[in-house]
Amino acid sequence: MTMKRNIWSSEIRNVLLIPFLILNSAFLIAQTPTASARQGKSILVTGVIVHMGNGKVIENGVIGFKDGKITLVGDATTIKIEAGAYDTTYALNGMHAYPGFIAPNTTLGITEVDAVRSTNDFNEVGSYNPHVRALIAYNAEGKVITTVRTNGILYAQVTPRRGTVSGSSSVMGLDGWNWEDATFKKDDGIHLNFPKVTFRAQFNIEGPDVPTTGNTKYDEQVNELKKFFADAKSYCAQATVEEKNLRYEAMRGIFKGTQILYIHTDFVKDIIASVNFATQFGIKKTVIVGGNDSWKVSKLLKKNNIPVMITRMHSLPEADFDDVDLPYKLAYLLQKDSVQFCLQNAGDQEGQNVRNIPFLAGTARAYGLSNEEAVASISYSVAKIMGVDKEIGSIESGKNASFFISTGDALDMKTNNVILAFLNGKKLALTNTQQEQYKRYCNKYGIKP
Amino acid sequence: MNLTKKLALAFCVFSPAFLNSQTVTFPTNGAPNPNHNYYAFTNCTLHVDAGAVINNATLLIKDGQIIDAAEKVKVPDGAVTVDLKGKHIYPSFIEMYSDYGMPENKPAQRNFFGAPQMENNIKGAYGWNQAIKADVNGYAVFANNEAKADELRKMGFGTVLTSQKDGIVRGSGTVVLLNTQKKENENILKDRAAAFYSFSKGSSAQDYPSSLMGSIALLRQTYLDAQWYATNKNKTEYNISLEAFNSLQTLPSIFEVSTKLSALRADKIGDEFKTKYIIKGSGDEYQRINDLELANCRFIIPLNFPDAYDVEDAYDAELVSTADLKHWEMAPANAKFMQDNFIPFAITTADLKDKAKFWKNLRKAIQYGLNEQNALKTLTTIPAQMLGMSDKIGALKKGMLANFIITSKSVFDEDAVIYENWVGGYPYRIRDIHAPDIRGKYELSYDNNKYKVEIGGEPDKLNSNIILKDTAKSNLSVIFKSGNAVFNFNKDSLTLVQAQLNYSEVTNSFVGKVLAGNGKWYDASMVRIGDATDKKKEEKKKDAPQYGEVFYPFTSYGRPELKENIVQRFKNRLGAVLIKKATVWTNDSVGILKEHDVYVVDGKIVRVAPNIEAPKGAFAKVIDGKGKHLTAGIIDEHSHIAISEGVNEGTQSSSSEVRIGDVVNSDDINIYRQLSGGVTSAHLLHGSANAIGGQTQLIKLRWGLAPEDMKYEKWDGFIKFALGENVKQSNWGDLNTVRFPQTRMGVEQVYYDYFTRAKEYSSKWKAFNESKEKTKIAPRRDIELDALVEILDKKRFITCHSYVKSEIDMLMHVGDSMGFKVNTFTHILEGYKVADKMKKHGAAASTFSDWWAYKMEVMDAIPYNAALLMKMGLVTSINSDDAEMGRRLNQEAAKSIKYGGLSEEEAWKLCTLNPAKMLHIDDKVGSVKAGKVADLVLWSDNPLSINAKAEKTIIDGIIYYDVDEDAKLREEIKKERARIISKMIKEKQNGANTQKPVSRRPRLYHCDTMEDGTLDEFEIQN
Repeated sequence: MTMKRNIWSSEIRNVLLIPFLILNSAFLIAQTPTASARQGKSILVTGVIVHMGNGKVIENGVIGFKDGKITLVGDATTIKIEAGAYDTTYALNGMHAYPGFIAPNTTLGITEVDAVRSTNDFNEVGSYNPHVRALIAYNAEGKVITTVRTNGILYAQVTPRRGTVSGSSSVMGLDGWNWEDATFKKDDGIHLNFPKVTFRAQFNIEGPDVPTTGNTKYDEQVNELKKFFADAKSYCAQATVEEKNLRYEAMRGIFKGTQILYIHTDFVKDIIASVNFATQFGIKKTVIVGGNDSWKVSKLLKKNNIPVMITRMHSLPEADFDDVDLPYKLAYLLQKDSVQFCLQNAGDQEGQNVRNIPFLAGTARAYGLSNEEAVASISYSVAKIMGVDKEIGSIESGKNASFFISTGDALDMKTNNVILAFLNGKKLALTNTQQEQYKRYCNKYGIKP
Repeated sequence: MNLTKKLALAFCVFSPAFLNSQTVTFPTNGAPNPNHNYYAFTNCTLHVDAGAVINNATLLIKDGQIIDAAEKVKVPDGAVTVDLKGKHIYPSFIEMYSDYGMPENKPAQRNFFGAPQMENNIKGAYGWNQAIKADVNGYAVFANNEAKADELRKMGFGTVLTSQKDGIVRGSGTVVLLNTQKKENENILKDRAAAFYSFSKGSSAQDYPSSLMGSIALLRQTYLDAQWYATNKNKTEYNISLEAFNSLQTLPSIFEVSTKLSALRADKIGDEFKTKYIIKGSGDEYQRINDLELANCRFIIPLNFPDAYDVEDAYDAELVSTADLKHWEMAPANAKFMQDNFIPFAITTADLKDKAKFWKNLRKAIQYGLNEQNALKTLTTIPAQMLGMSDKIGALKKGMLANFIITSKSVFDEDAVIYENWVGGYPYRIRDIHAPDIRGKYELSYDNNKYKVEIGGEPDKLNSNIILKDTAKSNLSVIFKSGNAVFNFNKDSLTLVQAQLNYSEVTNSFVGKVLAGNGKWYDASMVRIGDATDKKKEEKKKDAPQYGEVFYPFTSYGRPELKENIVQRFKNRLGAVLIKKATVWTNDSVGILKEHDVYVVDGKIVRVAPNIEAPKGAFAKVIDGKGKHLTAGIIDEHSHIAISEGVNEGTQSSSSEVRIGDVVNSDDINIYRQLSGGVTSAHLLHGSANAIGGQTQLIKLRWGLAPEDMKYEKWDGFIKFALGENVKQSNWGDLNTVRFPQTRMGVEQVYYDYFTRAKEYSSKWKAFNESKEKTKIAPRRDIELDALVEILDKKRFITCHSYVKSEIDMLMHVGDSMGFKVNTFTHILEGYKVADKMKKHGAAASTFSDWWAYKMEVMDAIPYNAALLMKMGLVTSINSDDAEMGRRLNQEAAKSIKYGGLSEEEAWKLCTLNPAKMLHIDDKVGSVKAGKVADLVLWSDNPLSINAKAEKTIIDGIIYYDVDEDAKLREEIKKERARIISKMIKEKQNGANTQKPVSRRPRLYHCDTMEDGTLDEFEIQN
């Protein structure tokens, strides 16, 4: 069975995509689609399998929304909808609705071309930069962004890198004229690259790799880090400060609990040290980012209520003796031990690779999660961990109307085919430069796209 | 007992007169002091060599030579006679791998980010490459080194082969005596005794070669150049390096390697140039012992057994690789493996950081199964044979050098002591031969007190304890020198402070004084009452060495299955396999067949049909395929796994002389990981750092076999070319602006230049081969141009790393005008822009599914590329260029359904049949039909689905990955690790030295990985 899955498939076009195609053709010359206009009308989507994101699924579902907020989610067999109650109705029988996927911990939008230094805006100079903010460098019109949302990713937590404390991330909706438009949650947390007790082996031209003897400056680095946090904490506790310190000022939210401390760390000893560190400084909300070895200390993480944003699943195991599929089943291992987790995709080509996040979830599903758990791992769970689950991350009444429709299983590259997407109720243009380029050359050669 | 006189006689040679011993041609300062005395060593157990022992023998020497060595020897009048009753004499040992007396080597100061050094920095009429140091002669720079000589003599060595260990060709080594009483002139036994080689460029800071395959190529070309230089009468250059290289060829050749796989590599070079190297190994030979046995080389092996890792912290233990854990346990058995496989070898102290461990480790090797007689051979007769000096050293026979050691007992006994080491007739005293052994149990009496004292330990490291009234023991220190023993007591447990006691050999007892806590001295005696408890013997009995099995390959997920067994299965192709009721993706006109059986015999598919019954006599292994999908194995057109020590020889714009085939690494865990993703073949490519890269190697993932056995049989050779940013060093930092080309303009000219040269070279050879003049001189063989001529002759095919349309056009133009085709454009992310032209040229396309925006030249990449190229009728594949993606190529192929709407059948061909086509192996693999080789994968689901898992990966009809076996292997690895870790913990608790656990993750290569750097930045831009 080889049903065509592409967005120009004939069956689909007839039913619903006429407005979309018209819109589409308007952008044939444009490089990046224009930001969507505000949506004033009420819209109803019917006949879809609603993957709510919170673990629930509605087989014959309807979704209604108005003014950017979901007003109705339910089972068509039990809900009565009066004719004409909605301005527009999409009858999308048998298709899948998902909450807009969220890509946490990414440099999407703050870099354009990895190898071109002038386009890299994620590495600031200095070791302690909590005051540095990713959102202002976010290019809402970056070319990569539109290639990402066409796979169902509608939000990204844009995150700085380098240094010990890299700065603060912000959660962006992947649509807008500028970063102010696109900002969903400003400065949601501060990112800490916890010192590593050991480094990987060094390459050796003269023979086998030279093993590392570990990080000789580890104690020094940890002490420095602790001093910074102790000083910042003391500063934040003072009723009035003698002289303003921007770096310490930026830390207030961490100590108050209004911002999250994201600790980037992988090796089991570093994770333990991170947890102890967070406890020592009374950090209210801590998240481990990476956490290769988190499954080894799941009890500790659970006890301390620390969630994990799991290392890119499409990775090789760290050690030769690891289970060959260890990275693939990491989500399952945490799920089994009731550790809160979500997926993330940092690493090589991380901006571009955000579009593959649904397939990470697909892998998590193939290696132990249920379908709805897998969906949650890139939607609801992400929102929950970032503390924004009141508004996004699931298709539930009262939440932001940020969801999309795929003709097939969105977690499988074979069937992921996003034909309709709304962000805060705004209908997104599902075109990108890559599609345009494809069509141009199909035209040139006279072949069917 | 006239001991003192005896001693004086034996050691009169230490008198100052001898320190001035004269070299004949040198002038004398004062009266000369000639000494032509006879020395007779009587009543000894004489080990003539490892095979012959004479009891009650006499060894007679004079002028540094053996006059006689037999049971009955007439001792001339006036001979200095030493009675060695109960003592043993052995030939002294020969150190085969040393830099004794050589000037210190300064390692190269290479600045990885610095400007390149493209030429030899040494001025003079030398060859072009600084790593070829053929002109270095050990004898010319040799100088005695008292401290080092002393160290070696104490271990029992008398003769040393020493050389400068610097460079790929290291010149000649010299055989010297460790007789530091004599001048260098008299110590050099053989000036040019052996030639030395390695794969390491040492102090050369010249860029080339930057990889192991580059070192191999450089050495091969040097052999060829030297041959040409020697035979070419019309040459116009004088080349010191080549002159010297040629003069090395008559010497025994010693090749130092750092791994067992490199030992095989060295041997291969030796085969090509008709040289049987003596290989200086690395101590891991047991891990590929059968292949090394077949190589038929002699070895020099070190005894550098690693210390146990300190793994008391369970998480630290996780850093240590399985290979490291196992090697710790098995390294002491290496010599036994060599011996049991009849590989002749010498033992060296080289690589031992702490030379004091030599004897400890040698005895350990014996404990692990090295036979004592063989151990002696490895230190005496075998090295002597290797040096062609069996008539002089390595045994104690008439006319040979008086190089021998005197020991207390059989030298391999745990507590044997070397008393003296005579080098060239000169004695070096290590321990007083007549010093009494005072170890034993005594009773100490003074002032009506009696205590039991025990003296134990080693003769030169005694320890002692005293038993107090309540039977508790208290340790006390003891120093025994010149018959006088000094004891220091622990005053808290006894009222004694010190004892000064003199030993009598007649009574075996002590008399003297003790100092009590009250400050008074008392007369004391200590009478022997028995022998010391022999703790060691008891321990020895307990600890018969036990160790795990050798894994093939020697890493996690290796199997303890001997290579022969796998090869046997593979070569004889015994056994039939029948896969029942699977959904078969044939990649053939019949499409996807449901509920079909596939019958495999002798590694080949014989039938694809429903309901096949295997003949009873075939004993077919039946696999239930119900509900599962059976496909051809995945072929990765662009992979960099399983490569040792460097994927790029990017130091020059062309490196067509290097061959990935020389550096296949069969131990790479990523081979197994790819098998778990359904990959059966991988095309291992050189990197993309230069316009003309290296020759590629197609392998089948026959996990467990040696590199040569993994290579795809009879395939058309390929070569990697590259275009664009990597080639012009765009992202290499601001200092790398020297190498031509730095622009796309220059890249074109590199090709014109090299192919022009290749054509001229080819016609020169043609003319020569066709010429009837026998005296005509052959043109110089150039292995770089050889590879290009193969391209022109359509015997080698190009796969070219490429992104941007302009340069793709360019290369096709160059090809069209120079007479070659570009077989495959790999990456080819802008292929969709030139699909029509590529089709016309006849090129295939091997691309990524969705990579883009990682550098400037991939900004126009689109994930629809593969689909468009397919639609345009090009042979198109999806490749990985990445060890991680390599095990998900099925998913990457599936993306072409999403991006471009290919059918599932078409999409599946992207990673199976199409790469087979572009590699010219589609007559054998790539589809499931009768007559093809059984490279098959059984999937749990539709292979294009994210839910699919490879359950069985079959190559040549043999299952190399099986999900059920994998589950068992996981458990076994955990058990094996736990076993060794607990052993290491015990080792530490028993007081052994330990080392810090260290992470040793294998390096992952991409196109841009440069060897002279640890630049992670380079790794991201493929």
